[in-house]
Amino acid sequence: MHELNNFLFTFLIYVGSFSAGLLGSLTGLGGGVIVVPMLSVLFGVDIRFAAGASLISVIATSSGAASAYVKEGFSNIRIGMFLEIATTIGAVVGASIVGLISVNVVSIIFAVILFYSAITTFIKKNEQVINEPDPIAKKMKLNGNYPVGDTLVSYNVKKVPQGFIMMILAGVLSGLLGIGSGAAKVLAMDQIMKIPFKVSTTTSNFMIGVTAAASAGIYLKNGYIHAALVMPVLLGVLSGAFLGAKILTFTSSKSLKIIFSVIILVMAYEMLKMA
Amino acid sequence: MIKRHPNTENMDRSIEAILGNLLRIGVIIAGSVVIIGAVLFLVRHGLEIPSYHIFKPDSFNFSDFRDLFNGVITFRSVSIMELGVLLLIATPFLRVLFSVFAFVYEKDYMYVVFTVIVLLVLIFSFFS
Repeated sequence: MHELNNFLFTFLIYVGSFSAGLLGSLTGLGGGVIVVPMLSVLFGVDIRFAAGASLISVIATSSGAASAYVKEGFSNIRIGMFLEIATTIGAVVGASIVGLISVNVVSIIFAVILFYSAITTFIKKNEQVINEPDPIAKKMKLNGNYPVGDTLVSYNVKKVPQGFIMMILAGVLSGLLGIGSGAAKVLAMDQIMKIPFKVSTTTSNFMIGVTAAASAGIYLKNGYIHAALVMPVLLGVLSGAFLGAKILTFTSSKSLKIIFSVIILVMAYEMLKMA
Repeated sequence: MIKRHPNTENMDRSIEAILGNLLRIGVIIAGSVVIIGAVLFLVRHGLEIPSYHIFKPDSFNFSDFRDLFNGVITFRSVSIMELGVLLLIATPFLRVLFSVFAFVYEKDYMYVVFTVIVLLVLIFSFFS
């Protein structure tokens, strides 16, 4: 790997990031979770630079996709804004501790998250609608509705404090690993707060950019953002995600998820070996 | 439980729609700046050997704005790519800032407070 010049290095990383962005958008899990291990395992990039590059690409895909998600009418701006208090605070904490713990520990945490992401791909989605309103959710105007065919279906949000705490953890992971931690966000919303799956994933996408921006300031100060490395990762993930959004919306096929999970598991194993 | 017309949340939706387009334009501008920097970088440094496996912090402070500006006007490739990255990071900032005004406009003061808290955390991250 040491003989690669900037031109080849940039090209190969662009191709890898493009694939990660494409797969991440088709499966709905985002590209960051693949980009970081790809850079560190395949290209030998220091995991802190890898996290920095991934973080920037995460912001790009989140902001770039915002208009598409809004049109579909699933995302809930109030749930997103309220929970961003938790994710941004978590992200600042996570980004601040990257420099304090060893690279090996970061790699091990990443491997655990990868295993977890592979499993969540197959977790049962929450499609049920809870009828009795939760007093906290009602007071905070978190309940909403989303389109199913031609009608709007209302939903009630549950367990707001528990979801909030889970979101702090999602923020810490995002700041620590440079990923969007969409899987943890969806877990908090879909599984704990009982928000319908499509609302959870779209609101998660909305939150990911703001969460990553909260880490970005600290990453910049600590020197984890290396423009020449960020460049191919950013452009690759962005173009891959753009193509993914063009060719498929949300409903991803089972086989695609299996491919994604296998890649993730291999990455997780390699990260563990590296640590 | 089922309503026929999407009357509720119309305000939120239209605000989000404007915002979504603004963000996309922001990403396109930032991406274009990065591409310009990338072309210059590859033309000038394409044959050099990078070393990202060694951790050399590439620290950026906001007092470095003058350096960045000087780099950009003298067409320094890395500075142009950095400018693109900073523009990109600014997009979520804009989203939160815009949301503060949107909630003020809707007179939803609880959410004005929530959004201002998020904004303060972001500001803390950059300027602490």
